[in-house]
Amino acid sequence: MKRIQSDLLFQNANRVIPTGIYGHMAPGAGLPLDFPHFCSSGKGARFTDVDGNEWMDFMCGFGAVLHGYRHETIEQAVQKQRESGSVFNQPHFLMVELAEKLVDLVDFADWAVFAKNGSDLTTWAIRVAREKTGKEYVIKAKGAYHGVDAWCDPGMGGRISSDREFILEFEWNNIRQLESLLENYSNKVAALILTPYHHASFGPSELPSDDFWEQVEKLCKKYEVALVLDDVRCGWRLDDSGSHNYFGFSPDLAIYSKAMGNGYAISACVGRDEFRSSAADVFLTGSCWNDAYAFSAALASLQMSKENLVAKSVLEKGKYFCSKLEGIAQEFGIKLKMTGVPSMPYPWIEGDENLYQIQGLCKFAAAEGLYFHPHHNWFISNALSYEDLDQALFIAKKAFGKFIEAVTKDYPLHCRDKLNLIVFADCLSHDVRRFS
Amino acid sequence: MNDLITSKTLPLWAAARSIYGCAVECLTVKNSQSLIPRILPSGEFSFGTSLIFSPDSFVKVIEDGFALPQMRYFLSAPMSTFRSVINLARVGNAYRSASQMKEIYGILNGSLEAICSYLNHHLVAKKTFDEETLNTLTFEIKGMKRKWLIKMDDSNGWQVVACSPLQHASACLTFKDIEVAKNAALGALDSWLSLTNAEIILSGRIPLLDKFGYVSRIAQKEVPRPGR
Repeated sequence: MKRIQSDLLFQNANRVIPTGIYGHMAPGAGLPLDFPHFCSSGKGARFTDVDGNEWMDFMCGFGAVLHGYRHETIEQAVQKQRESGSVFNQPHFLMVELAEKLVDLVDFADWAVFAKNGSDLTTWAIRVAREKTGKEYVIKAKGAYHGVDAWCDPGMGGRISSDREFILEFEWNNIRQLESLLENYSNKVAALILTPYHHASFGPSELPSDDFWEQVEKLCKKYEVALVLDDVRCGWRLDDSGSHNYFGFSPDLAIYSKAMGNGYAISACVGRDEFRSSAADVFLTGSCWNDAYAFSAALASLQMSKENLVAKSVLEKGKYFCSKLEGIAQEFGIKLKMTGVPSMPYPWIEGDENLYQIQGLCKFAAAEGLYFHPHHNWFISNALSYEDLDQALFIAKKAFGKFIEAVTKDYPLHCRDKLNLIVFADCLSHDVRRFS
Repeated sequence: MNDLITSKTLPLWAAARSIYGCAVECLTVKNSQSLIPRILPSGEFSFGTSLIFSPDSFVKVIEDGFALPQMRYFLSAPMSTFRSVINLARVGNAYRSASQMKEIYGILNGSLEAICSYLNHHLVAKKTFDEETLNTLTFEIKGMKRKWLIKMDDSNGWQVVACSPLQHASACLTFKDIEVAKNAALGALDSWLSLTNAEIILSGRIPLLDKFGYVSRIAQKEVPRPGR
């Protein structure tokens, strides 16, 4: 793939932006020599990088796009709003319409507030829980991502010891451990913040065990802890009315963002009536938070999701794609398992704890124009048609074949003949690096 | 001795380990042993048995290339002290020259030793790796058989250990060539840019390398270096 502008731009970026590109899109977090650094345009389920290469997309702007890039309905809604303006002295009336829409859509919600990013409102929500309960501690699942604030960010710098003084962690699905924390910190825990299922980076996703959410709800009631659902990543990809419906439970507060605005920056927190007065007492504002373009995009996006049963659609497309992809991998002796929910699957290869194999597979896929991320869950765009998915599978088969050919070429027969054996995995893990 | 390594003494301790790490690669076994470092209860730094510097003198040795050691030891064991002085000067030359393969290997080994000191003793660095269970990293130079492995175990903490060419680690950092390896070890490489122009290739469990990079930047800021 051609790659000149991308590298030149990165050199410029590195001069004027610390690390060039930061956060989860930083080159080092993905495949720095294979993924483009900068994009120029996108339409539907494809985007074009600054060198003019077209990619079939399985990341959807890291989840920020659900209906496809530049979806006409959403763009038209935003275009219409552009004629009136975006940010004013007072909020635009669309804010009320969007709040009504969310209260109508989300069964437990009695009110809604808005910001720009998931982090803005996960942090605000735990403050609301503290205000409501008068307690200090917050429990989260180990390895879960809830944003960029110091109480939860996955980075290392700029932290002081008190940042996490009141944050406790338990292993996902380990109800006994959770109960023991609640018992040990009896009357001290304000909130339990969880994602609908565990979708940490650099490891397989974990679905909740059968009675996980039932137990969580019981414990929260027993210990009078606010149950805060971080639905930022999953929201509208599992259910058109909030992911709690998919798993059959009911939180006290929930935060949405990403897919909600289909690429326009917006986040929302909804909550029960009991939390309304506490919500009123926790200050909330932001320079461009009352952004009418984003409100109009979110209204159109939510409407489309509901009318077209988009969550069901991406789940079905994901299921189709994941099972076929696993089958292709198996043909080559690669024990690939698409973990998590099918609309946002995480690719995990058995025995590949150190990730060398998945990195190799994704490198070869990238060379064919497939944006398969080796360390983060993928996102299935509703703009992907079944024909697109078949095309992606066809290309993936070619890429996987090239990968296997490359890693087995100079290897002894016992590696080539027994593709599914551990010895092969061992050879792969050693040799993937040769192709970097 | 661990009690003597505090946030105040750590930068110099890391520098001392770094000197020894370089010596292991550049000098004979006997000569490198004359540079085994220790911190004395008095707060002084010793190399071998008799070359001893006050903290201030040690900084001068590193940054300016010369400082007077504690003369009382010099006089009591002149031969071994003299050997240590000569070997210390050889390591200094290796840093200044950094042209021969063994010198570059020495600088690289020394820098890994310094980072290991931080991994073992720096509060933030230790906390950074608190929850990691996979703790082996290899460092390679493309096209060369020689590799470096750093690993952590409960009894020895983090250490640089011998590594066979086929040994696998949880994560691997590959330098494009010997020049890039040298620049990286001397802290003269733009690590963000080098990731995108293939001067450095990361593979395996990336969060480990991310954390290692963070600790190495802390060390780079604090540990005295020649000419600083």
